[in-house]
Amino acid sequence: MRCGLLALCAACQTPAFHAQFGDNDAARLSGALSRMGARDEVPRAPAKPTNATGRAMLLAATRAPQSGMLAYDLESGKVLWSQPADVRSRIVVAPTVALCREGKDTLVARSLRDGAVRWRAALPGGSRLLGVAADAHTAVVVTEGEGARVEGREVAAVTAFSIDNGAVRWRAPATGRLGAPAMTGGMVLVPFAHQYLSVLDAATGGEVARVRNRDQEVEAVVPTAEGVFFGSSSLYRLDARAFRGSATESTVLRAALPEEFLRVSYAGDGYNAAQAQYTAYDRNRLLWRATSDGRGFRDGAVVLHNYRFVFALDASDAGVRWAYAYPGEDLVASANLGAVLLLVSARGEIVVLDAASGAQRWTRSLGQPILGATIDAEGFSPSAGPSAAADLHGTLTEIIWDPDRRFEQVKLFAVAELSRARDSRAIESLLRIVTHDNVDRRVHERAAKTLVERIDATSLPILRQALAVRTDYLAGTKARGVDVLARAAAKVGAAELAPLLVAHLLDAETPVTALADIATALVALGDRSAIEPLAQFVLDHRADEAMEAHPEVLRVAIDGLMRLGGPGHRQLLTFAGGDGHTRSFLRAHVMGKLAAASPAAAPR
Amino acid sequence: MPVSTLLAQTTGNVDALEADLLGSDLDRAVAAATSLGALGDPRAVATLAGALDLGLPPRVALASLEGLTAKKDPLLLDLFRRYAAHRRPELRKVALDAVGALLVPGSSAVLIDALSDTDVTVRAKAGRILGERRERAAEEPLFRLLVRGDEAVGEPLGRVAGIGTVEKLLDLLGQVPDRPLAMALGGCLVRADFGPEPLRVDVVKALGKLPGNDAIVLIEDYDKSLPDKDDRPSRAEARRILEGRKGQ
Repeated sequence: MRCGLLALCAACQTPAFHAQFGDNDAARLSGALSRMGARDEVPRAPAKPTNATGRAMLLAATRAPQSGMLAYDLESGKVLWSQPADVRSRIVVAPTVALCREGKDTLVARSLRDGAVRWRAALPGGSRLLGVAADAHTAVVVTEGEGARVEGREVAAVTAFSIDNGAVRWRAPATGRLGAPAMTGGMVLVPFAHQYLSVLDAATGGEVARVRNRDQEVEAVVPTAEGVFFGSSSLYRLDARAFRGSATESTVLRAALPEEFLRVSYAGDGYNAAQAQYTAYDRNRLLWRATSDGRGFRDGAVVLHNYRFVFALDASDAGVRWAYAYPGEDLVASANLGAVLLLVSARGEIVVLDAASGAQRWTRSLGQPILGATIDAEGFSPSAGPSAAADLHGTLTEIIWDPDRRFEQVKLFAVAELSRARDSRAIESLLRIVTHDNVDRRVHERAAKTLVERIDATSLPILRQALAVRTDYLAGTKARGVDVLARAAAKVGAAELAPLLVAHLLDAETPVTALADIATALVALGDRSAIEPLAQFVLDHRADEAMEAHPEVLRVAIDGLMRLGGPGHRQLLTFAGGDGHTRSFLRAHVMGKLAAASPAAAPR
Repeated sequence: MPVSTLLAQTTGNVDALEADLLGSDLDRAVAAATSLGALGDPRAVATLAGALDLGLPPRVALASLEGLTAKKDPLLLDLFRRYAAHRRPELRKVALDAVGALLVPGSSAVLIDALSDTDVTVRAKAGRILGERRERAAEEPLFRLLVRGDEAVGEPLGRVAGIGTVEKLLDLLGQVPDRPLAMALGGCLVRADFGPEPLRVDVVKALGKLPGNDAIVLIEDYDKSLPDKDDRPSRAEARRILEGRKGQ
């Protein structure tokens, strides 16, 4: 029997992470839950800040020129301390210390009172840090060795340190991959080999339970005041049902998400060493809270934090309840505290939003730019000043017109939401997008599609106004999006728009790519005032070789003449079909149409 | 070229030329259009106009429009107006020439409309014709085009600019390209209807401030345009500037 720093299973002498340790064992799981102090077999993190003062705090890694760490008391609005430090991982808060990797290989514990170094401990050399967790007695790190993985050899390890002095208490190696740890109720929770959640005794490192999920990977574990949740594309609650290991039999949370954000994570990827630091993950994630029974999301909502933007989404259908756009820089840290959301920007501004309405309740400043922050503020809910909820339409429009070119997905989402919002300004906003010359191509396409789907006769006045714009060098005006406007006109079906479309059809400035849509719309509107212009258009361009590249244009015009015109126009088409100057592709089309309409009329 | 074509062109056989015009050989069609345009036969005009009305390949249309330009037939204004709005800028320009040859109501409006064309060569063509016609209605759009940097509108603007426009031009020294500004101011100076004299003096002074040779040539032209015994102050100013430049 091995002893000392190796972790042993108290019950059966099997080392932690051993292949023979039974998973999904109901009795073991029940025992573990009991030892974690679970109420109704649901372990929960305390509903208060972790730090021993009990005050809402924020620990931030500050940026150059003052690289270091600072502690900020959210309740007093004061910086408690600031220390120079080479912060190389996210900061973890324990009751009396803040921990993080500083420099390449050192775990440093700093006093929460003044930021002074309490102890330093060497991390295993040449290893990747996957995560740090701590409670009042123990700090644990998960590290992974560099280089090729050989079966049977150590791949990763959990190392536990005394929170008082950094002495190593135990070490649990694993021959499979380990993910970022979490701690609660005297236990260490570790994603293991992608499929498992292992529960280790924080005092000894012995494995006390192991849950295997049959449906999806276990990428992360998050203790909250409503329960401990784990999973990847869904959240499974650690409770008495967890041993069943499947979505149908376990307590599971999953929100409907917009298609633009299907890959956004509930809790990150604990196997990704990059996420042991403050990274892009902190700027693009879901913020959520569960109901007390763990069976749903609080208020039926999840919050999407996407760089500078925050959206509250209905968890059942992904509909946007409210949206918020932070001006200028990214929000690099965020937390869902239940009644409020707390956000921190790269320039060190702290913003608190009401979770229900998105109204801004409160702002403060750290006074310096930051790389990232850890928010230890469970239960923090500053009282609101007078601030109205943001106008959803206004915020969505602001997002669409944001000059930052990084946010194409968000803009696509905003366009889609414009159409869902029953706001009379939506059509006007969509028209503005499709007639603008400096819009991302995909955003333009989405807006065009949405406009044509949504527009109806009530929007006739603004559509008429948009169609009336002509390209005029002297006046400095330019007709844009005429193809989309034509499709919209066809959808609205108002014959009074025909003269405006005719003007565009015969306008030399109209892009050739828009002509087919215009001709199609004119035919759809069926207004007889379009017949002679269509005839003129056919005559003007039937002999032009440039039209070979856009055969659909003249084909549509000819089809329109066939439908709307009279005998005289049939004669004209008969002439065009037989005339040597007419481009051959068009002659064939005309002859085919005439033959189909009346075999006797087709030229031989 | 086939003998039949040469013969048709030589003898002015409209029927034969029409056949070539409407035939599939584009070179022959172009030649036929040119020949029809040269004929005095009214049937030739009708043939060209009819073919244009039914649509022709661009090369042939161009030759046909050119052929009709010389006819100066006011009944063709609508046809020329239609081609002045054609998608091909080369056809628009030829059509403007044809419109410009017609001194009939409505023709200036077509030319002024063309000042809004996004093609700079079309605008230049329209401007030139309007300047030659001394069309005062073009004054304001030509001025706006000059402010926007259209180089070619300086000379035509000079032919039509009134006092108000010239005063605005003087304020634009250094803010618009020098050459069209100089052409506009110089063009005003040589007009007998332009004045009063103090404004002429200001125009000469402004030209004197413009760098380069263009302005000096215009001042020289102005000096030469006046009778020998004319001793108006603007001439004196012009000669003073020219003397000053010689000394440099």
